[in-house]
Amino acid sequence: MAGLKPAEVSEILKQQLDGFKTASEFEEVGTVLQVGDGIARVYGLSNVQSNEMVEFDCGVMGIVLNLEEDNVGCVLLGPSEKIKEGDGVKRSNKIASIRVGHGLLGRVINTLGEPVDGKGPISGELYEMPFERKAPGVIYRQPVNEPLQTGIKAIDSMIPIGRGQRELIIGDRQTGKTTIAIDTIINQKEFFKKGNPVYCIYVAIGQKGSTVANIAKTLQEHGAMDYTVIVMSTASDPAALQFYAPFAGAAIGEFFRDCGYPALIVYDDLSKQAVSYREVSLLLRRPPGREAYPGDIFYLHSRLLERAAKINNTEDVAKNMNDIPESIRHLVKGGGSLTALPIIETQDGDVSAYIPTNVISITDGQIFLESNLFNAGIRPAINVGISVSRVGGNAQIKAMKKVAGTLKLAQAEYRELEAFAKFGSDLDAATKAVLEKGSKNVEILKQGSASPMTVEEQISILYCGTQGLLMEVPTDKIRDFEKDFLQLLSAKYPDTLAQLNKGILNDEITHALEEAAKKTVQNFVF
Amino acid sequence: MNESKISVRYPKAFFSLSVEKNLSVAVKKDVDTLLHLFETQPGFKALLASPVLPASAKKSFVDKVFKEQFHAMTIDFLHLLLKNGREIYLFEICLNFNRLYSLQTGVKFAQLTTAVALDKIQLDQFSDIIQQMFGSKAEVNSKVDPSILGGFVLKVDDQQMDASVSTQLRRMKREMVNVIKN
Repeated sequence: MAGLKPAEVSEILKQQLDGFKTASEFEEVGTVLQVGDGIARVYGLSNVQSNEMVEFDCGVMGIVLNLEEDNVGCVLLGPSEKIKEGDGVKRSNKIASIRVGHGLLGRVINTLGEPVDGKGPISGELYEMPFERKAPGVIYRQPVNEPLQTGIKAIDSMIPIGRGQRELIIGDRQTGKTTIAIDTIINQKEFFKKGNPVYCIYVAIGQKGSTVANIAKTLQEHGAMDYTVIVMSTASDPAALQFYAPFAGAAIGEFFRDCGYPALIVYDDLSKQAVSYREVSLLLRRPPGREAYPGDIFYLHSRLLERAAKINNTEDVAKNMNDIPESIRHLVKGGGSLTALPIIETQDGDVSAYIPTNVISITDGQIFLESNLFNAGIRPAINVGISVSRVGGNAQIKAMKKVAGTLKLAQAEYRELEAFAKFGSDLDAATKAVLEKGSKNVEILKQGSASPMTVEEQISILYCGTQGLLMEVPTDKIRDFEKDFLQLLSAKYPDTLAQLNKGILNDEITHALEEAAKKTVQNFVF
Repeated sequence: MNESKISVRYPKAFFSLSVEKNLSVAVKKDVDTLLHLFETQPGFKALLASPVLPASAKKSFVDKVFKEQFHAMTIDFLHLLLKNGREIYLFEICLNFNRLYSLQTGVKFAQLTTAVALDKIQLDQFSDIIQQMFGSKAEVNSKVDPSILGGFVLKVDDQQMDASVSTQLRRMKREMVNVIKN
């Protein structure tokens, strides 16, 4: 208040009084019957709608989830201490929603869209987007056909992700799930710089505040915050805020998707969201099912992930999309996409638990991370054998498809043979060759965190691996070779890289790659 | 279990029996007394909800306190609730009873809160206004609450018109804080 002049106050007063409504209107109200554990039962409010926001006397907001014969059950979006039995509750006539706009980029917000990074209010025009919205119908979609480059060799080559796809990242704690998601966000910088940004949304659900701060810092350091929004609900937030956080993120993602931009959303992680939804459901006395999760836990995740889509790029079709909120109707454009990377944490590698199997069946594939691979130094610790991408293959660029087409099968075969090879030493030449090549490819596929690679670099190094150009390089020198090789390429063969980026792979290019590889190999042969 | 079934079925039975026996007016008066008790004596609800007290103790309490002034049918109803162990829902049951009564008679119950007491003429004016707006007769129950500073708060069923000075001041404060924040 220090810098506030008296004139300013009266100006504000005038401005406010100008548009101030003095005439009161009838509002619909109810009375709190019972409150506690983050939920309230309210008598009255007979015309309230499901998912409508209500306001308690003390200013705390709530969302109506249960409509019963003579009362309604609400979840509270704030502290319940100030609410007493007998307090009034007002309808807001507004379905739970979040205000979205380009001003959110670079910000850290909570589930309700309020900034929590201390950088002041959100600037720019904001549009109301509902938390719950029906996913686009069949005619407004189009098959996944563009790649979403993660910058991670192992993923872009063997488990390619397309724009509009939903690819699950699943694994135990401490296996690098979040790292993969963050690296993918960092890799989108390339497209942001070129002027076709992929807007990213990172939704942190029930995480520690310090973890989220670290992630925000990492993204900031790599210049990735310019095109990223972080939606956070910490472990200390009410359960309702935690289970609505992914919906808030999806609403932001839909804004970009429907405005014709590609967007990427990371839900970190949906197992925690399921737990907070279970908490709310049990408190609302909904009947528990398997593992005490409510009956609609599958629908909770399926309707969320179904909102990831690639929108038809015909303008007229996209404009008629179902359930477009009125606020953005004039902005709708075709060709946008929303790619979802949900994360699920398993306990002790158990993928057959309730929530993991549910989400595996909903998504278009999964990236499975294993702690023993991680501990063996294979990072990212992707188990190639059981990781799949059901639709991404169509989105891979041609050159990558040609080079890495057989890589996944070869690596799976290598893993199988490796287990056998441990028993005996008498191996035929063919088996030895497979093992040799496999172990080198494993080295090639290793990659540090926050060091994404462009697609042309990926293709070049993978070409060396799959064509067996590294037979003479010792396994422990592969990473050094990779460094030197890529340096040589960028210095002496920029045209080759440029053509690879466009997806071209002809004899001329393979020739150049082989030449460069031969030159580099010489430095490693003793 | 869906609790609202209990607080709907009991008043339905209670009300229809009272109508059959032509006792609805008398019973309504008892229900109003109970609701008033819930509002003014927070201990009353706690006493009914207490799992420590056996039903017999609660029954003798009901007999001692209410037998003189309540109609025999209300007492029977309270006994039934105690017998079935549903006395916790009495508050909701009373609310729903009033809703049924107002549906049956077509008379709305309005709660009018003002900062100073109103005279008869003013109250009549209010009930005329309500009749115009809602198209049905209204029984205005007035209450004085100095904390609203001025104006009035009128509540008819689920609808509330808050024309009190305190609310307007609060609204103004919120808007000004918002402007300063932005």
